Amino acid sequence: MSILMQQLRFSPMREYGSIVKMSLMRFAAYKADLVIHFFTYPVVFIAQFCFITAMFTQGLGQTGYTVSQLLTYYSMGWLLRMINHLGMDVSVSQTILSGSIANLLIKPVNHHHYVLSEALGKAAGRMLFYCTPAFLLLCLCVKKFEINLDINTLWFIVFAITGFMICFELQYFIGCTAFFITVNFQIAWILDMIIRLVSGLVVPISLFPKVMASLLEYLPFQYIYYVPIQIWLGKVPAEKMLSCLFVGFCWLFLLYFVNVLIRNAGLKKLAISGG
Amino acid sequence: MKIIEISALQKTYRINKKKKGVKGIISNLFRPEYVFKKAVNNISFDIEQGDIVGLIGPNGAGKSSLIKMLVGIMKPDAGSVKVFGYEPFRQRRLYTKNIGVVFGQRSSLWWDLSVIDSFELLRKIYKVPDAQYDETLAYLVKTFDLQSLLHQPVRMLSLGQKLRCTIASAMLHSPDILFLDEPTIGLDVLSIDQLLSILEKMNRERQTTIFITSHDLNVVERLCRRILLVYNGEILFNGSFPDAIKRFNTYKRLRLSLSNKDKLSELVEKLPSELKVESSNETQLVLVFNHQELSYDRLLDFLRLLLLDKSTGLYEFYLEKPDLNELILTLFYSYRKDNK
Repeated sequence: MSILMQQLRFSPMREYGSIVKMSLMRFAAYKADLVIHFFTYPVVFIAQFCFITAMFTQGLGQTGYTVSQLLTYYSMGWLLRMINHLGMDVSVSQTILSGSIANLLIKPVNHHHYVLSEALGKAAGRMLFYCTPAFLLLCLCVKKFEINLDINTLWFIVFAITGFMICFELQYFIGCTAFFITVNFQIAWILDMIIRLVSGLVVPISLFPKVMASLLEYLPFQYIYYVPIQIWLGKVPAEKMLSCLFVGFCWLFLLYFVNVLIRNAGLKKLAISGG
Repeated sequence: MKIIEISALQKTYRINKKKKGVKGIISNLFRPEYVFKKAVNNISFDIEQGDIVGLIGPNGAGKSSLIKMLVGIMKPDAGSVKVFGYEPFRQRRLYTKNIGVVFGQRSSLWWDLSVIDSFELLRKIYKVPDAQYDETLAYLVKTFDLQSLLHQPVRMLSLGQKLRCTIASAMLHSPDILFLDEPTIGLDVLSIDQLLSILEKMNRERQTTIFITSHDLNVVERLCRRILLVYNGEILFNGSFPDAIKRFNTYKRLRLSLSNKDKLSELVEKLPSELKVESSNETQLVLVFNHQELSYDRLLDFLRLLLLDKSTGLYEFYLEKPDLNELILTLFYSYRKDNK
């Protein structure tokens, strides 16, 4: 319990701010990788656009969404994925597997907060180098991309940040499973697939069968993509925002505490072999 | 002043016993068998401030497990570890502010960043005040000769350069104690010599306590005032190198250089019974003796006689003490024999 209380204390932000900066610098260290990545995302966009346009031209458009809404939905989904999916699960499990976690634990930092700072730096890099240019390109080149700059935009930002944090906690959780099962790549892969599906990235949750859709509304995954995009599209009534945000925050804190417990249990079990 | 206090420390690993072949793999899935290996078995010792202590032992002796518990990254199963009054594992974040750690096999610098960027980040992490940082950095750059390396990415450095930077990074926050786990791995003799000189200087000038594990016994012999000999998770010896020699190795070696190879067998016949032949070739005769059985006076009398007798062809002799390698081998073999 005392350890849990120790984790609750907020660490001074200065050192973690520097870790965010360091992570951003590391992100921008390899120019070729940056450029290649930048050109990879439009390919996904184009594929998605072709699919949606084909779906509507074939008369399969009875979804409750217009073509432009659906195009905007998937575009925003992929923009959010650029920031949310940072591969922190893989990087955490690799440090545990290789023993390089030792280099982090010999420093006076909280492992959880350090990884979060790294994720924030990486996300800032992706925001700067991928997301912003992609968003501008969408605004300029795709007529059907919907932009509503109003109060919903602010709500969207708040929910997108909550979604980012929930997504980070899920990635951290997956990464920490390596403390107990060592090799967790298959688990990470399967969970990523499931999260893509149940968070509304692949198909909007409202298009799922009714039972499944109402079940997914009780889970945290919708906050990663579905809820922020619905807000961007103006499909969430203003009076529901606060209650929805409260539930999102509850999930976030619950996941955080679960991760604190798992990480502490994992560190007790940790045996870095071989030198 | 004692800064490290270890009492009845224990660590046991549970290891999955892998069975042979495909059948073994399948059986392992359903009925895994485990063996328990005591990596650290009831170890107790203290270390004083400003001391340089070498932890030595064969592979798998428990050295790394011990150092990992000391630096707070591994939880002991039983016993207690106190460093500056901190419990390293439980109070890791507070404790690690006061120590510097170098794992020779893992660089703690950030691969993609330049050396100076890594140093700057560590300054923030350890919350080093600006004035102190500038002073320490200047000292470390001069001592480790880092000026030309500061703006290079860490990934571009050679092994020796990286190690120099890693050790400097571990000193940036002026820790009172430095834990070095195999710091000379992969270094050439020149780099090792430089590194040892630097560590000696730091210990002399800053009273930095150094705790080092190494397989290179020359390093330990030159640097350490005290050695901890670990085998099978237990401490076989805890003391200074001369103490170890006194206690475990009472023999000395006498090396005779001869110009007349035909006289070798004649010379062997003249030897006092306490002198045993260890090896011989055409120009050298290597003898060993226990100096408790053969006094130095008697030995010198014998050598004087040989030198006066020109027919023996003796023109040089050396008296040698056993080195640390031999001492450790003697100790390990006697330990194994006793425990069989």
